[in-house]
Amino acid sequence: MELHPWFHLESIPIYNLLIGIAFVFGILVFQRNAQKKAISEKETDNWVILTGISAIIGFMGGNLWSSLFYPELVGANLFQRLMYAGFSYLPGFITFIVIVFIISKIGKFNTNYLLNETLPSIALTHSIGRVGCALAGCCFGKELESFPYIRFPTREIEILYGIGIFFLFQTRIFENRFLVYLTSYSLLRFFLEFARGDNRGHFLTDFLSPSQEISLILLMISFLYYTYSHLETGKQDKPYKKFHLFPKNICSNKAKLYTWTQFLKDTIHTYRKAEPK
Amino acid sequence: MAKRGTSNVPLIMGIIGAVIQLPGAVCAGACAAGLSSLAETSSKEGTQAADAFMYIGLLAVLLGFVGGIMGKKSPVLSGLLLLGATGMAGINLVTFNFFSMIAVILFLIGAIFAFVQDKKEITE
Repeated sequence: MELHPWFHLESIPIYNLLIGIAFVFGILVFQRNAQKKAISEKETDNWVILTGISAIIGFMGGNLWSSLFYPELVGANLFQRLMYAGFSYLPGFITFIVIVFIISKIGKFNTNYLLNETLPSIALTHSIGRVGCALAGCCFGKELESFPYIRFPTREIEILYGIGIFFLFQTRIFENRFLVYLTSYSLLRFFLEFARGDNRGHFLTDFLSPSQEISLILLMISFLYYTYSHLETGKQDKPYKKFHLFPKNICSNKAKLYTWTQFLKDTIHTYRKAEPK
Repeated sequence: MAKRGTSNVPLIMGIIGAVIQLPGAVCAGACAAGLSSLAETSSKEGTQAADAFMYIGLLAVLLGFVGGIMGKKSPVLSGLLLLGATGMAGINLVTFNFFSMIAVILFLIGAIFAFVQDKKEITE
């Protein structure tokens, strides 16, 4: 397997170590944010366990999905998958979100609030994880034509993006973080994929990489959500009720949310009223 | 009234131990296969031994990780899980595995801290 690390640290499992450090920092940031927002310790502990378990399943999902992208790994055993498939970020992220959603519904947590508060930790974890990629040598860019031996800084761009969006989430963006992250990262990843120099695998099409295909799907989801949430503004017969998928200042089980179901009911109702008789 | 832990050490040791044990588990599988071939056992037995050591190693990863994230919520359970992870990773030491040795030390430190950390009553 071709690797291009920043510098060679062959005897240390540096990627794993950085992922572990990233995860610890992610949890500590989550705990600190929860403390600042006066969320009870009991609730914080439950959330840490929930997101932790979801993260384990997310890692497994990342490994399982990524083995589907490489035809040579289809039907491979666990050992071969762990050795060669790695842990793809986008499949792992999607699995994580789905598992958080399912577990929080079963445990009656406020999914919206939980995901909104988890996003800074995810951004930080992703950023430190990419430092691990750079030190291990994976996820490298193509060699530049005008400057031989210099590669496009795909990993470095993602590190900067992760740090940047983490600070924005901590200081400026407090609502709709999920939408912001989904849209911005999908866009960035879609274009960065053109500059990636490692084996990208194959999924649905021949001309786009699996990550580009997933990015496009995520972009469509965020676009649909954005459009639907703004359809509300066009209503004349009732005052504008802003739809917050990830609202601020709402503690679980206490506040009444304008939920997806209510939102869909209202949207359908509006369309029916607009139909010509 | 239930009590929660105050230390981050079990969390850090559990997670770092788990991520170090992950290559340890893979290595243990490979080492066990290598040792079996040196001992001239049949290839089927060698593969079974390799798989067994790898699954034990992966179980240690899981126990260590879960024990780590439960360090504050439930200190005693966290300590027990981390001790379990120590035992599982310890079995992998049979294959002369350096990563498992580091993981054993980290899990053990995490388990000790989980038991001895200061505890306080949970605020709702």
